[in-house]
Amino acid sequence: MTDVQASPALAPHTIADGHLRAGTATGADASDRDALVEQLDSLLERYLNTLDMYEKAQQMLTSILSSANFNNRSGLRYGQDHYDERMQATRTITVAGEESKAAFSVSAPKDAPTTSTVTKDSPSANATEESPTGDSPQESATEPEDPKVNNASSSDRYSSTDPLRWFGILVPPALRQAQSSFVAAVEEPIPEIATLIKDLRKQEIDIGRLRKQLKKL
Amino acid sequence: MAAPVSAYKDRQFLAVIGDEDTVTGLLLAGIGHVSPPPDSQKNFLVVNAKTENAEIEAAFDKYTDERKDIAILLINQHIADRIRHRVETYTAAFPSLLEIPSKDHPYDPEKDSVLKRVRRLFGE
Repeated sequence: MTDVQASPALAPHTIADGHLRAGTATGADASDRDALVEQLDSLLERYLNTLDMYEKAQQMLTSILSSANFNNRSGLRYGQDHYDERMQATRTITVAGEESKAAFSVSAPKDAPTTSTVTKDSPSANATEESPTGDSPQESATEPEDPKVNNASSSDRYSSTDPLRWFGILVPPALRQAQSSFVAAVEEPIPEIATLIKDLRKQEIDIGRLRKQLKKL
Repeated sequence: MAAPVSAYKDRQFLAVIGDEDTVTGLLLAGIGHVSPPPDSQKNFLVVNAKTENAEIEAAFDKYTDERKDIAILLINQHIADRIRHRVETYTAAFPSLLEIPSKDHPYDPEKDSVLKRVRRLFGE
């Protein structure tokens, strides 16, 4: 009978914290506590390591983007007035893994602009270079039929998906430099930082949970 | 508890809210995407001195809440400052929100909401 009376009083306690067994054995509590503290220590250590990686990736991004400074000496603006309103993304994100520990990566098709930009500037060189890609599936997928564009210019103007083309054929080298810097940023630090932020969030939740458990002891 | 895989496997685009140089640079890298007409939705917003904060917030809502095809939202840190309360209270799993530096505004760890959370974690 006494057992029956005792159990309702203990029930909320034991249910609230699975680590406590009937709330009597202090020795078991202490070892539970030690185990939790140890677990918290290793979580915090891992967290600081991830944080270090995050800060390094941010520094890398900062250095890449600061070298992307586009110093325009021609007096022309290379901005949103030139954007092609029919643009289609050539660099896209792939999310892998579970929601809580998702990993981001950037995938680019073969005709996306690369860090090693083409240095040839003459129109004839570009025309010969691009003709093989003219009927690639990428091009047909991204180019809806547009009757307003005349045939002569459409084959030449949209034979490449390189956004550098929006700004003309003879673009300043600084703009090419800016492009390759931003490609480098999108390919490496950006997906890395996104992954690390997710990882940090998850670890913060784990740490918070563990701290709560410790407080209850 | 966890969202089904289908909830984020379709998230394939980067979106950006930034100054003109940042947006231009990212579009040059091939992230720009305009959906087919008639809605012609862009995945970028160019912010200049004349842009209202309400417009920035609207874009933020669109990329974080309405659209289900954005995996990562990039925002210049100095623009995130203008809607700081929104950035700091953003907790959704997707899209991932990233504050990035710009040419005129280098990265400031003091303002980074990720590092603010870290300070909170250790300040308790």
